[in-house]
Amino acid sequence: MNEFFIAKRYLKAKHKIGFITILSAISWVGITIGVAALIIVISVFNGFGGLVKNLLISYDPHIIISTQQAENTEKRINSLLSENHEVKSISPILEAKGIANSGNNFNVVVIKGLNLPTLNSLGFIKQKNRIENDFKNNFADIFIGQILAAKMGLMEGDTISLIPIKTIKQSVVDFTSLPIVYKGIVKNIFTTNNKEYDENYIFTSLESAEIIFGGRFRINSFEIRLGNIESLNTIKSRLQKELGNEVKITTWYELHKNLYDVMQIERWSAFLLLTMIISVAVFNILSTLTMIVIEKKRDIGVLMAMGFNKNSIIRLFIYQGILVGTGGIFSGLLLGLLTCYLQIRYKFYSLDPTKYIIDALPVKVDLLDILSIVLATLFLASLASVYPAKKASEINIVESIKYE
Amino acid sequence: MSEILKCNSVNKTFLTGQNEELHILKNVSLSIKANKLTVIIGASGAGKSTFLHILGGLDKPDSGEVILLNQNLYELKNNELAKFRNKNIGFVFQFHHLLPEFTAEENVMIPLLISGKSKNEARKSSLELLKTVGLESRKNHKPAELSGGESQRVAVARSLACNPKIIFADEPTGNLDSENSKSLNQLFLQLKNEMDISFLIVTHNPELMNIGDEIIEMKDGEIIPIDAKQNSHGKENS
Repeated sequence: MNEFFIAKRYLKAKHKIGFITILSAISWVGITIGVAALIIVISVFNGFGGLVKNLLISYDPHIIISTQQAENTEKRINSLLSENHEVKSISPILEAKGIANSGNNFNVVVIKGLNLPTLNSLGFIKQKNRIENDFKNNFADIFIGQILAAKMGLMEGDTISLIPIKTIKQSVVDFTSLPIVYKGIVKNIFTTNNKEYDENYIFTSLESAEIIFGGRFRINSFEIRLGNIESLNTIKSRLQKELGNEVKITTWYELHKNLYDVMQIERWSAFLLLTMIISVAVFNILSTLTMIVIEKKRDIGVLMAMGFNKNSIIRLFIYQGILVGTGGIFSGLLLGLLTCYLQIRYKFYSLDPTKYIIDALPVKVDLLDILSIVLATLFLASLASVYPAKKASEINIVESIKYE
Repeated sequence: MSEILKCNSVNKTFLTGQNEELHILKNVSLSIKANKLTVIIGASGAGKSTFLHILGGLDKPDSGEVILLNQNLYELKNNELAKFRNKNIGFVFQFHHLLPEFTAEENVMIPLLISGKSKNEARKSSLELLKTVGLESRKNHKPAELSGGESQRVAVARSLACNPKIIFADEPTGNLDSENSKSLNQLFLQLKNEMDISFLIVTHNPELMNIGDEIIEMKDGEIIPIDAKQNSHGKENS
């Protein structure tokens, strides 16, 4: 590591050409700003990503299994997963459109039936008003989205009418049959912060849904919710292996793949654009080192006379580039992480909670991102050092030691 | 006595700014015995320094061969030649050429570190060598804090670092006053006698000619060997 020993000393040296010190400082500051900006921006992307993920996994089922043979599949799913501690709930899904009516207010809604344990454990449901009973006395207990409830002027405990679309269709073609109206009691008004869900969805028990939609035969899918989302892929592949190809297994991630793809593209674009700031700063390393090579021409010749080979000279200058880069990376890390910490702790960049679902810009620092930023910067710094290092190794010994 | 260095028919030509060929070394052949202090003298532009650089493996001849310690230098690849220089050759230049960012001790350590020695080993040897040249007390001084004579002594200590078989010195006293020159000459003599080292020195210094075991004169790219003892008094500063 003689090269490193010398490179380190050269970094501290006072330069005869004062401009080298200025250039060196500019590259240092540039890398600091670039690295800090990258850390902050990527962490905000992570923050938003995490927020969206939390919103989605608290509402959506984590795994949906679609099948043509519901009864058989249900048994097999239960036998496969009943002992699995990562699984929070398993339920058949009975979902269809209907009309919700209260007074003069009619709304087309999606009525979704789930079994009671699943229904009552939904993350966005207030636990105080659970659905304890299935369809009773011709009344179905329901959960209703906040926006829908507001539109219909409903409060907890109110009653509404639910009309399945199928019976409306029948009455259109057959004048002797009238649409069947079921009664629903609002047990819970929920908020998912997702407009589509809060405006269109009504939840009820599986049994109530069966009665409203006229039978269990309509069930052709199941939903699974997990306690730990990290085990998603393991459980999915296990299910796929055991249940074979007659079932289609979709994860919550696959349901929102388009959204995630866009978010990934945005994240990568930000990464690349901000890396360009670092590239500009790193370009100064190239200028600095080129000038150092000119300044140290004689020393390079002397080192070569004493036995340094071309590769050692190349290493010496690449180390020096990396050292300047490392200084910038270190201060950039400090600045970036400090900013992230202050935002997480004191929320100094706050958002209006009446307009947004969060009160401050979300920030999530990811170790892997930090590592990628550090490695990318080190790579750029060493890349910038290659040209001056190569030039240094081509110095003619005799030419360089001739004069003082 | 065995020979340490031999060169056969060495030629070197440079191109001038006007694209004219300048024949610096003309078919030079030479043999140098081990453990001798050989001095090359000659007028400026006679090709002495170029010859020294070629003999020391710093510059390639256009033709001819240089055999040092039974090794044809220019058959070696660049990396092998660098290693060979580090292990077997020490250089002292007209200007001390110490690295300004490093202390006297660290400057002497560098060839040892290049050879693969650990920092501790290198530091130990470096201190011994500084003692040999009488500059132990200046070990923590940087070149800017040393006098010309002291710097050149540190440069000599550095050239001795890897225990070389031969030291090439190009006008080592060229930049020193007479007092310092004298003391450096004595140091060369002392080192030659105490350590098993050969010296090849290019100089204008008449005193170095006096202590030389063998004197070689170069003129217009050719050499004329002269017996040192006979000619030392007759030879004027070339």
